[in-house]
Amino acid sequence: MNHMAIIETILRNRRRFFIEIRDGVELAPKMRAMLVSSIIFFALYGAVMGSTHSLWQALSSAAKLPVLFLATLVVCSPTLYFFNLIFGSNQSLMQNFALILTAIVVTAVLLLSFAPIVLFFLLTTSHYQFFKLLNVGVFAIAGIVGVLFLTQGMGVVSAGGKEGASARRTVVRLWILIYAFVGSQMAWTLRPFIGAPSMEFELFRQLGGNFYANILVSIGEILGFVTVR
Amino acid sequence: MSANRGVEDPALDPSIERGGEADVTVVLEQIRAHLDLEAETEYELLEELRGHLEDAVAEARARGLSEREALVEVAARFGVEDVGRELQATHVGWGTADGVVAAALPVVCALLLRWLVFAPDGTAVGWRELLERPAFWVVSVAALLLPFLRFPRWRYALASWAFFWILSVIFVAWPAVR
Repeated sequence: MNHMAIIETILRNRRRFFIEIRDGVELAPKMRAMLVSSIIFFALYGAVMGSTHSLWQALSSAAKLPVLFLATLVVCSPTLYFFNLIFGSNQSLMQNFALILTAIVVTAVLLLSFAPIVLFFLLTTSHYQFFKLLNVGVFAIAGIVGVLFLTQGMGVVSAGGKEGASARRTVVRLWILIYAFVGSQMAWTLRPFIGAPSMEFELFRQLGGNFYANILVSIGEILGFVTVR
Repeated sequence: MSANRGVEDPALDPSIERGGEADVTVVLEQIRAHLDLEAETEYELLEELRGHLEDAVAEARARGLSEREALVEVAARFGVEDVGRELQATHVGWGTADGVVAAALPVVCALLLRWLVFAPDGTAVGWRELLERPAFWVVSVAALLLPFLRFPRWRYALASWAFFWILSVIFVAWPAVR
């Protein structure tokens, strides 16, 4: 219940939550709650994604989706911390970590809220490319809302800094682009999450191609321009 | 508002008067100022408190206190700030927990049905055969009982259960139709 209280505070009273992060109030329990909640929510959504293919794919996606987000967090958070530091931030690495974790937990909650809808489409359509694009759309919506929370949080936290607040806002916007690129490349590296129906289960696919080209091919197939074998 | 100060000198606590008359609603509004919960939860909690406050006021009135004195005494005894903080601390997160369970439970039950009860290769199973599988009964009883035990409001449980059953019917019927 304590974890849910923290999630509810983020969603209902985010300003207070960000002020507490800025002031370093009970960072450890907050981060623990966000970490545990996001792992559970991502795992559930991952299981739904993988259920189009096989039980092993469902289990594998349930394990890989939390790893995807948390690994991206670990890879990207030092960059945000050091650039903020250069532009006058007085926040610690843990505070930066907590802010990014806020964006991730918001993304996770939104993905969970989409899970019944995605499950419904899983049951009522067999079109693999459509299901893949549906998931890309869901991730895009949840991710955008998540980074909006991060931008707001950085705004609140930056208000307490010494100088360079506008530079730090620019840094956050650029960092979000880096985060999106790293996240999409991480997702491509950890694929498959859904599993092509024509292929056997694999924990990881061979490297090659890229996320964006694959999405364009999927759109092309749905529109009838390309046929993927 | 300092409740204890009000008891020592009721004249210092004019905030519990409305239109010249003492009013339980004003005390409840002061408690509400300390709450940041879902509107429905706040309403239910305050309505429950209203009953307790009115009983306490009636009891104080029976001891010969005026309406205003009774209310000041009751407000002091309850401790407006403490009650507000306590209610907030106790109930914060319940709304989110309900939302999470409402989203997660049907999905978890549907996935359990899909991978444990029905054939893992996705083969559709007939109802007659399904009813003979213990795993089916375990999932359906869990899907029925958990919402009723977890949710304070029964309509969420019913909605969750209905959703689960619709999904399970789709799981059985849809592959056969296709």
